[in-house]
Amino acid sequence: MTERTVSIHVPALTRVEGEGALRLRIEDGRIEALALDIFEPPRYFEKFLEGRQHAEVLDIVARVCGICPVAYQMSAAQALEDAFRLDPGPWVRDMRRVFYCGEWLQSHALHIHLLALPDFLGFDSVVAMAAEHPEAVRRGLRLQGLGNDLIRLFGGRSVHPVGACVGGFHDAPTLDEVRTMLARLRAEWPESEALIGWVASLPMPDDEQVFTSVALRHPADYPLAEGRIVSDAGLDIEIADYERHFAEEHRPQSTALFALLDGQPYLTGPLARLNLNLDRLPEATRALLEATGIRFPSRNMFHSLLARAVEIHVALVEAIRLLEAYVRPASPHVAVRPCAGIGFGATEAPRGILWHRYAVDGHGIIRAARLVPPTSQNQARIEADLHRSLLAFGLDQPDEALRLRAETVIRNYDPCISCATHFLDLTVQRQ
Amino acid sequence: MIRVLGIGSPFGDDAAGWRVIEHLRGRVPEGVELLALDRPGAALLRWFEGMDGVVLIDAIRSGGRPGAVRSLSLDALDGLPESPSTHGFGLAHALRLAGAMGVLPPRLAIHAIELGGLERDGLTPEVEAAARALAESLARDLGGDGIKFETLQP
Repeated sequence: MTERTVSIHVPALTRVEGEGALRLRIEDGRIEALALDIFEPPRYFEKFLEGRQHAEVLDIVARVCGICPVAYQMSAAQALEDAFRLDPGPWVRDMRRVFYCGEWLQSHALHIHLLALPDFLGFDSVVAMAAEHPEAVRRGLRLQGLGNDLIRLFGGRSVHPVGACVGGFHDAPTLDEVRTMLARLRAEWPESEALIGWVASLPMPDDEQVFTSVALRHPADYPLAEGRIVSDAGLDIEIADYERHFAEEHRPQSTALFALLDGQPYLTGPLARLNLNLDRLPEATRALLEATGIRFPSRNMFHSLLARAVEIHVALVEAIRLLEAYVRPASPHVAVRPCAGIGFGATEAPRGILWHRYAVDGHGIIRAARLVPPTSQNQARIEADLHRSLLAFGLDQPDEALRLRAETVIRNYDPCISCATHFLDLTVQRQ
Repeated sequence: MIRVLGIGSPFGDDAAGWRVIEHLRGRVPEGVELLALDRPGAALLRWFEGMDGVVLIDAIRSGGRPGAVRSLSLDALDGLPESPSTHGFGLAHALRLAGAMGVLPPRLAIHAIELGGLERDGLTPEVEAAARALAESLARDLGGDGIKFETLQP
């Protein structure tokens, strides 16, 4: 048998956050090797944090990601407050939730409209799609802008915000600023209602898969900035026990670590959250989801897109509810008294659970840090999905079609891949 | 209404667009808004809404002499790859997206300052001088003769 090796160099894994690589080797009509390479900046940040004052941590971890800095700050704040046995109180807890809603709004709006949508409407770029569907792109940009402004309201700026601190916020918005924001949030309500129906009507590949969903779960609310870690396989643990159940392993082809739950891949992110928290949806959101006729929990990975649309609505509903009760506090933060200890934080970043652990000494200096981002948790699941999806699609398909299907599958997870290289190669080897 | 948008980041000469905005503060007539934007990506488009004219200032790397200022037409930004990741979604892509959606401002001016380096804090002297000179010339045009725009829509 002669070997035919085909190498395609494309600016690959386009329309994702950052860059990554996929290698695929097909022999005798079988997938012999399939590897998704992701370069992970949190690994370096863990070292940067050692020896730093606790008060510096939120500004440092915000730099891990330009799309989900709020998630990094909120997981870190929770973990450090856990280490210092500090309760920031109900005002801070509520306003952190609002702050976080801004991040969900902007990240989900960006992903649905600018990153994923061309796959479902049959365009190879957002620019081509924009010519035919300018209204959809306009809605995406408007929702993204609103989310950014909501982050700015508490964070001072939307990229790498500076407003949050251990114990609360450096400053609190004025009543006027909150009133203006409320009017804008209310104005987008009908739009976000329509978005759920519209996304549900998009043609989706019908492909049921077996996977374990893992998400946070809160006693009353749809999970965002706090909760226990649960799965649909019966897991229900304190976030401090994460490391006893979830292990990370190195794979030779990748700088990233693969997180596994009891040795198996699992899913974190919008679809897993929705699957596990249907009874925590606000009433208005639940009615909209039921009206789509699509049943959840869902095992169709492509329903992640609908889950994001649902969570945009959740973010609006929650931000409005909490800001309607807004009062300007005497102080937007509580005093911090560092003490030695280990603290844990876990929040729901737009892409899934973001878990932090810090060891702090008696002077409030960070002695060790561990950050587990959602994309590394999903990496094994993405590979399993690719394996299955490409077999179902047909390995005899042309390279270009295989590439597009693989990218569509990967993009559906909204992976946050930071840039190691500017171009990612998809290499297909056929034998 | 005219909006002058300085696009940049805190990295070295990439802040050139911001510096032009700083120099223009307090020197533009009513009806002209100044904004410094940090790598807006596709979100640039929201700042076009309702404008009669938009002036964009960004740093560029085109192999020229650091500090060289060029006025670019929209066509000059063609030839970039489609479908970049969000990290690669720069000014040219945002303008192409705006074109596809039909939301380009009726009149547009693009000024690019050739950057020297991105490593240091603050601008290199050539780029600093160029930002100051561009601000002088824009302040003059905004206050008197009017900005030299490319007309995109009648």
